[in-house]
Amino acid sequence: MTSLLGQLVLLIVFSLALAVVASAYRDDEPRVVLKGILRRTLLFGGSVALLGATSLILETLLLRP
Amino acid sequence: MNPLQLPESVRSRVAGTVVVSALFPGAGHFLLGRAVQGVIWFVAVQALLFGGIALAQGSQLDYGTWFQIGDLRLVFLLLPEMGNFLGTQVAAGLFHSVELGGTQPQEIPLRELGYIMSGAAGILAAFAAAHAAGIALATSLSAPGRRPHPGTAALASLLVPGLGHLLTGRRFKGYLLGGTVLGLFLLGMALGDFADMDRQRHPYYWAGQMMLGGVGWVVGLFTSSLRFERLLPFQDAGLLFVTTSGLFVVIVSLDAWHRAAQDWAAAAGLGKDSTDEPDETTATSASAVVLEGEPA
Repeated sequence: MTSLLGQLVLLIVFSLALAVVASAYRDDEPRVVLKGILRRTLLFGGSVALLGATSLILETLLLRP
Repeated sequence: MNPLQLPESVRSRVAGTVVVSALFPGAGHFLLGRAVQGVIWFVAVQALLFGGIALAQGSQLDYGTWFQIGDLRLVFLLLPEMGNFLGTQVAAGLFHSVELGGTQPQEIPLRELGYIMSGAAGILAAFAAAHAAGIALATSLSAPGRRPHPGTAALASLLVPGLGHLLTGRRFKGYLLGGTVLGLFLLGMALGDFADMDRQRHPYYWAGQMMLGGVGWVVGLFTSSLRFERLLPFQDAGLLFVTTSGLFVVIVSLDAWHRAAQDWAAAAGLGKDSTDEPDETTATSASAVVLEGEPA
């Protein structure tokens, strides 16, 4: 059984890794890459977290008998 | 990432080399006057493919399928071996499914080694095209100075993620990308009890994992025989991490190729955006070992 905290930690780790690769592919200058990592981590992780929260709320309000 | 500012003649030469190499590994090198390299690429790739098939008794073919119209077989689809396109088609014509013959893959002792060899052949065949394209670009430009050509940078990134960037003098990106990809890979393996790399259990994930290159192939040699012995809480996340890190290696290699090509273009005075300056303008001393493709 997974825990919500564990899933959140893994989401952050994965978002960070994705942001590193995307930012390093997009830019070449270290300062710009670092700024891109922060922005893309928040963007990707936040989007997934928002989708997860939405589905959790929908499940609680509408789908659960 | 900014597009390369290359003359049309150079673009055509690079594109032609890629097409020829994609069909026939080593042919691009041959056309560029690097006959010895072409022969080495061809022999190495085909030896890995057919050696791997021999070790696994052709059981790789059970993970592929024919694309056919009616009874007419057109192309044998098998990932990642298809990177070596013609070799895979010949192998599919020569060998047949062992499962249909009544043999269970588990009964073949060296099949995991065979899978990694044939899978690596497909990946390396694709990188042979990238290597040849790098030579085509470097030898087409009149660029003073010594630096690794793009194909060498891409190939180095396949062997160890980030190494290609180090060779082109981009230490920050080299360590950042290498640490990220290898860290994600190791975390994924740990989450899956080091039993993530299993072609029989999930062949499509395995194809992505083979793109990890040298590190993944070596780790796969030692862990492919491991199996999940219990239900793990984050087993699926581990599988995703390991496979994604393989896909990341492709992006890292593409970036290494592109950045090295930018360096060549800039040295040839073909223009380069100011935001794309590398953090170090000269190649590392290690790159001197692999310098190739001095302009004619």
